Amino acid sequence: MKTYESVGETIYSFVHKSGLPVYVLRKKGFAKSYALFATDFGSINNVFTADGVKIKLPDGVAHFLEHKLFEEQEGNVFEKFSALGASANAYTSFDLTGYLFSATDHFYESLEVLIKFVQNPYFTEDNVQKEKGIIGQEIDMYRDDPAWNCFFGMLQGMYHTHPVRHDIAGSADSIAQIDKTLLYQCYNAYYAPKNMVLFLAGDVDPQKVQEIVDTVAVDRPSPNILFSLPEEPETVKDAEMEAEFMVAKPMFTLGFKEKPMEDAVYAEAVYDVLGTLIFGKSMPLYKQLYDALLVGDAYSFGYTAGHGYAFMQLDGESDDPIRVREMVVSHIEKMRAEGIKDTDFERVKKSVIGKALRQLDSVEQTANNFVPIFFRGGDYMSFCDTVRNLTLADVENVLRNGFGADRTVLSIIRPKGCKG
Amino acid sequence: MQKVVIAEGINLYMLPDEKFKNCVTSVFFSVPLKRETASAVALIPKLLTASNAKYKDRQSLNLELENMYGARLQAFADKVGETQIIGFVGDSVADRYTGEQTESEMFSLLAEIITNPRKTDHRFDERVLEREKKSLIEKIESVVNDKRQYAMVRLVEEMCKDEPFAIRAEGNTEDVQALTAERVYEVYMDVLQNEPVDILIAGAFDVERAMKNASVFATKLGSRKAERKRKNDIHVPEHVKYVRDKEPVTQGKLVIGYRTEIDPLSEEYYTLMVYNSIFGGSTSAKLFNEVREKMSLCYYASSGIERMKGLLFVQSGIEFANYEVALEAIRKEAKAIEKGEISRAEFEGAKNSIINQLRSCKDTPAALISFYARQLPLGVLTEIDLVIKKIMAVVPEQIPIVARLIHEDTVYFLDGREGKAV
Repeated sequence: MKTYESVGETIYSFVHKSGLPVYVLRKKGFAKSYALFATDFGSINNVFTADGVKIKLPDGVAHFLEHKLFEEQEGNVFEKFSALGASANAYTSFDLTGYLFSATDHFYESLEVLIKFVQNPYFTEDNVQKEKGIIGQEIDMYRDDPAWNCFFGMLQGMYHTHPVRHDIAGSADSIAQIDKTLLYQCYNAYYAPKNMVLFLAGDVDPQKVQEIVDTVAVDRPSPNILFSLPEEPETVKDAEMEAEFMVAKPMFTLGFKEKPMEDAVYAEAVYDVLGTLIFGKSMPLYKQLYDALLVGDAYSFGYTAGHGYAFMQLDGESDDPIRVREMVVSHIEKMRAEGIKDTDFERVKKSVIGKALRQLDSVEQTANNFVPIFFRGGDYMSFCDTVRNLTLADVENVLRNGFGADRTVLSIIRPKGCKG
Repeated sequence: MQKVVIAEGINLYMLPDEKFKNCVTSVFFSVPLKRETASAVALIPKLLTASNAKYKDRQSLNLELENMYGARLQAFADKVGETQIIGFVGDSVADRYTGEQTESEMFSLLAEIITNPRKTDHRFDERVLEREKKSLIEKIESVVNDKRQYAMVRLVEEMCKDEPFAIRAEGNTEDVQALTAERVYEVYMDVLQNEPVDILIAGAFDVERAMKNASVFATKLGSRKAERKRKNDIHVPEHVKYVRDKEPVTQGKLVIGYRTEIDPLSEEYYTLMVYNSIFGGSTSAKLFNEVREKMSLCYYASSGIERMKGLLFVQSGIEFANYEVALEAIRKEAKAIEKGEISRAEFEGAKNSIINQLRSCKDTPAALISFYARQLPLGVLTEIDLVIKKIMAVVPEQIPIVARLIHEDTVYFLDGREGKAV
C-alpha cells in the first residue's frame, strides 16, 4: 500500500505468482469502477525475437490481435460483459494494447471475465478472415479522417525508420498477410503475465481483487523477448508533408522531434510545463497567432513519448501554416535568448498540477495515464509532486537542448482542389 | 439534488459530493431556436470570452484561469431539441486541494464574463466582433472535416427542412456575415434580461457558500418572466425520403432518421430508451451484433435518440457497394424488434447498459452537469435515480408497442463513388 498525500490517493499493489503486477486505486464513494488489463505490446513492437526466434510482423498485428481476443469458442465476450451490465472495450496504441471495462455493479464477476478472456485466445482461420472485413472498414474510416492523416503525415516526416511512423491498424495489404499462426506467435510472446499489468480504479476491495486474481489468473512461463528498434537518426526525414482532403480550411500539425528521456514521469512533467510556457493560451505566442488570424479555435498542443520516440506537437487550422511555423520557431528563439519569467513558470506549474488533480476524478483517465508510464518504469501518481519540484533550470535546459528549428516537421492537409 | 429559485426565472441546482477533487460551476441560458437569432446567439459566448471589461483578451482570461490552479472555462452554444442553449461551464479544483478560494473565484469570474462585456454604448467592440465572426464561420464550415458528423448534419437538414430543428446551433455562414455590433448586442441584452437562467453546480463545494455566491446572479441579472414553451411536435411521415450526396470520401456514411410518436415527458420515453439500446445503443445491440459482427458490413452502426423532438437516428460507416445490403439489414433488425424477437440477453443487456451509463454520470461533475443541462428545455429535471427506476420497470412486452410508434422518415447516404478519393 502506498499513499500519495499531496493528491489524497492510495494505491494497493501485489504481484501474482505468474509475475503479473496488480494495482488498485481505491476511490471511495465512486459508483463506477474501471479495470484495464494491458500488455506491453503495441504497433511499434513489430520486430522481435522470442526465445531466439526472430519474428517480423506486417503492420497492424497488435491491433488485429486486440480485435480477435474478444472472440471465444462460445461466442463474443461483449455479450458476457453486457449481461453483467458492464461496458467493455479495448484499444491499441503505439506502445500497448489495453482491454478494459467499466461497471457500476457486478464488478468482481466482470473482472473474472476480463482476466479469463484476455488469457484465453481463440483464433481460427475463419474468424481471422472475417475480422479483415471489419478492420478494413475501420482503416477506411481513418483514411477519411483529416486530423488523423495530418498527424500521421507528421510522424512519417519525422521518423526515418522508427515503426511509430506506421499506421496502428496497418493497411488493407498488411492485414491481408495476417493469419492464425502469426497471431498465436505474438500472443505467446507478448501476453505472458510478466509482460502485462492489471490496473483497477474505483470503490473496490483490494483483498477481494487478490482472491479473484489468485483464482483465475493463469501462470505460464514467459519466453525471453528481445524487442529491437532500428537505428533512428536525430534528424527528421522530411520537414514538410502535404496531402489533400475534403476540409474547409488547411489543417496542420507542427512536430518537434525530441530526444526520448529515461525518466518518463519527469519527461511528462517538464514537457507539459514547457509546452504550456511556449504554446499555452495565456502566453504571447498564442495571442500573436490569434490576432494575426493565423490560428483560430482549433488549437492544441501536447507531448507524446514511448520506446525510442518523443515529440511535441502543435495542431491547428490555418490559411498559412508556413507562417505559423516561422512565428513559432522565432518565438522559441526569442524565449531562449530572454529566458523564462519566474512568475510565468510558477503560474504554469500551478495550472499543470490543477489539471492533473482534476483528472484524478476520472477513473478512466487515471488508468490511461498510469499504465503507459508504468510500462516505461515510472509511477504516474508522483506526477504532481514532480511538477511541484521542477526548477526553472529544468525547463530552460530542455528549451536549450530541444525544440530545434531543424528538428521540426510541418504536416499540412489542404482542401481538395485548392493546392498552393 | 437541491433546487433553489434565487429570483424569478433563475434557478440554482446543487449536487454536492465530497468524494470529488473537482467542482463544476455552470450557467445556462435557454433561447428558442430561430433563424433570426440563432447566429447572433451562437456568437455571444465567443464574444463574451474573447473580450471583457476586466479581461481585455483571451490571453488575460487564460492567465487568470491558470492562476486559479488551471481552472477551465468553456463557453458554447448548443441545441437541445428546438432550444438553443448558451452554456458557461467552469471546472476548478476543490478548495481543500488549492488552499485558496477557487470556488468563489469561479462564480465571480462567470458573473464577470456573462454580464460585463467590452462594449461602447449599445454595441460590442467592432474589432473583436469581426475577429469572432471569422472564427465562428470557420467552425460552421469545419463540419465537413468530420464525415460522421457531416452526414448527420446533412440528414437533419433534409429531414427537418421546414422545422427550426434544422437550424444549426452554431448558426450559418450567411447570417453570421450579416451580423452587426448593434444587432448582436441587442440579442445579447434580450437573452440576458428575458430568457430562463439555470445555474448548476456539481462536485466538491460548500452549499451555503454556493448559495451566497449564486445570489450575485439574482442581483446582476434580475428576475424575469421566463416561460419555456414546448410545442407538440409529433407527426408521422407519409413516405420515406431518400437523399444522396456525392463527396470525395473513402467510406460511405449511411444515416437513417426516424420519427417517433413519443412525447419526451411520457412514460413511453423510458421504453424508447430501452428500445434504442436494444436496436443500436450498445455493444449488446442488434445493429452491433448482426450488422457489424455477423455480417461484417461496417466498423460502426449505432442508434441514438433526440428526446425533445422524438427522433431516432441510425448511423453507420459502410463500403459504398454495400448500401442496399446494409439498409436492408438495418430494416430487418428494426422489424425483428417490432415482432418482439428480443432475447432475454439482449433485453437485460440493453437495460444494464443504460443503467451503467446513468450511474457512471454520478462519478464526474461534468457528466452530471451535462445530464441535467440536456433536460433544461423541459422545465423539470428528472433525477438520475428516478430515471434508473423507470428503466428498471420497463418490461419486454412494452418494446414492440413502442416500436410501432417509430417511423422511418429519411435515408441519407454520403457516397464517394463519383470523384475518387485519395
